[in-house]
Amino acid sequence: MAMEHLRWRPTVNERDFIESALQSDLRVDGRRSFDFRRLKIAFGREDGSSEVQLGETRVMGYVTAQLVQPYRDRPNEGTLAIFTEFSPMADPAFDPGRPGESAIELGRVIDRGLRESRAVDMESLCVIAGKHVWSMRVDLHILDNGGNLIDAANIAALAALSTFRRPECTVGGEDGQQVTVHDPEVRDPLPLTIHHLPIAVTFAYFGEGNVVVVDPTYKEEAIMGGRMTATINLNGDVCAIQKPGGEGVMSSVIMQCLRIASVKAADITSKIKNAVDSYTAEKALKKVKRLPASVPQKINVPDVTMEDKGDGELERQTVKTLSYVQQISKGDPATMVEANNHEDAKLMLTESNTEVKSTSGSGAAGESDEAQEVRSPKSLKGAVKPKHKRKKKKSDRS
Amino acid sequence: MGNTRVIAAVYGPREVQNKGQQVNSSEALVRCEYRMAEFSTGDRRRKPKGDRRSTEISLVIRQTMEASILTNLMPRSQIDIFVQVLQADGGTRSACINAATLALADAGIPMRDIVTSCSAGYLCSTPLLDLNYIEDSAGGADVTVGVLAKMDKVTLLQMDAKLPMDTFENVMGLAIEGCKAIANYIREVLLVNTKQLECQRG
Repeated sequence: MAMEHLRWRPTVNERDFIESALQSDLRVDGRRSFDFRRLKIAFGREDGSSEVQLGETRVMGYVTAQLVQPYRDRPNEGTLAIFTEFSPMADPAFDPGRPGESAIELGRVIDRGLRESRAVDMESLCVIAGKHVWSMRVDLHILDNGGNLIDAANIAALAALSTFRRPECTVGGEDGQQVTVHDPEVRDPLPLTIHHLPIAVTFAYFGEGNVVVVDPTYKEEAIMGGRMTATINLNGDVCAIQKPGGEGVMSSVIMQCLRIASVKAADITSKIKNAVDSYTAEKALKKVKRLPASVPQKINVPDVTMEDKGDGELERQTVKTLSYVQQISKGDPATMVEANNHEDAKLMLTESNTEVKSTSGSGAAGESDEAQEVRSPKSLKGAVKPKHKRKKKKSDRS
Repeated sequence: MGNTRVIAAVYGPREVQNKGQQVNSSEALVRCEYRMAEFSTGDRRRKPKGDRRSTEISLVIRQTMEASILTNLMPRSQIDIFVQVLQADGGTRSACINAATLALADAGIPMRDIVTSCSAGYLCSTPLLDLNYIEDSAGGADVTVGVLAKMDKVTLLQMDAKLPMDTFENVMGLAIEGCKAIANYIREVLLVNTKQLECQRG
């Protein structure tokens, strides 16, 4: 614990000031006893990365997945591991390298809240029982320590897990044992199945355990007598509690804290859900926005070409939708012609047609799907196409 | 506690060995180390100390005992608590805290109150007291409570797995009662021990 002496120590004046203010129910930053600081959730460019700002505390969460062999006693469940990094830029007391006690405690509290309460469905992460499962890894980086790291890190982990998309994989091969992981460009990656969101709420005790505040700041944490972190979800289930010693409190105070925590948890759950929803909506919109809007009249030209190339009633019926979709997906006459040229293989065409037919009625929301579906025959053909044409398509897609 | 065997050793108050660790010169420094012997669990353990679970439990035990030791009576000194698990059958945390309390009392270190700890769980809609390893790994809830017996204050509270709030209240109440029963037993044992020491002194 060489870092202990670097930890900021409050002066006697500060300690007295904060404590006497708390005796009269006032907090130094103007909040009431049971108020959280301002919460801001932002997402990164990739799926599964989040940055949470709770007052002055900033934590970044990042989720990755990997195919591994499962544990021997749990052959059909995926795994979830939480790694914390207490970077020295967050607090001069943090040592680079080996995690200190508080880092390990934070990791274990969040781990207990997520894993033991079965927030993330592990069985859906199984690909081949006993051989391949998805192993989720959540990395939490503390960027700035403004107090109450556990709550902020928990929200970051939940936000990252909610927006994470894992690649789709299919089991195939001769013996049914071969696993092919699909590129996210080929097949849409899948979200995780999250049953509930366990929210951590930290309480700090002062005095003889009779003054309680929620979400302590850095200074309050340095002065507090004890703390308790309650992880509660929206249904009122207590997922985990951590009160690592410190000031003793009456059990009635603990039950009261749990009730307050469930109210706060509902509030924060709604905030997380709103942020995640707006992010996913924005991302879906971005997918469609990339493809420029098209004018329906242009269909005639590709229509003619399509009818020439295609054969069979099925194709003619769906030709209009296909070309319209192609219009959207390409929007570039050069590539469109190219795309038409690619409709040589009938097998691919009927495949894409049936796909498009099923999704054609879904309207604007389904456009991205259609574009995706149309893109899949593109990429399949790309495997057959000469190199220079393939390169052009790839640059187009990005 | 049942099949769980734990041994605790307390050294101190003695001079602070690592001046860098001494944060508050008006209070004693409490250090704690929790170790599990390699032979304590079913399969031989690879890393007896330094792994995350042991570090967390060391931190928890240290802070629990700190709440009870009158550290301001022994400034600039250090109290070391070493706890070793010889045989683990569930509830090792609680056994360690009880052992540490006994060791501290035997060492004559001034404390506010006796800290006792007990675990409780919830399986098949029944609250159970003092889970063993099989009951613990059954997947139900596991609540570990540490109380200051006479003052009726909860110092340590740890819970994992999901529990609705009212069920949790029941389980916590049961664990607190268990702690109080242990506290009575510990008090009796300490009295017997002190009487023996008195006899030996003559």
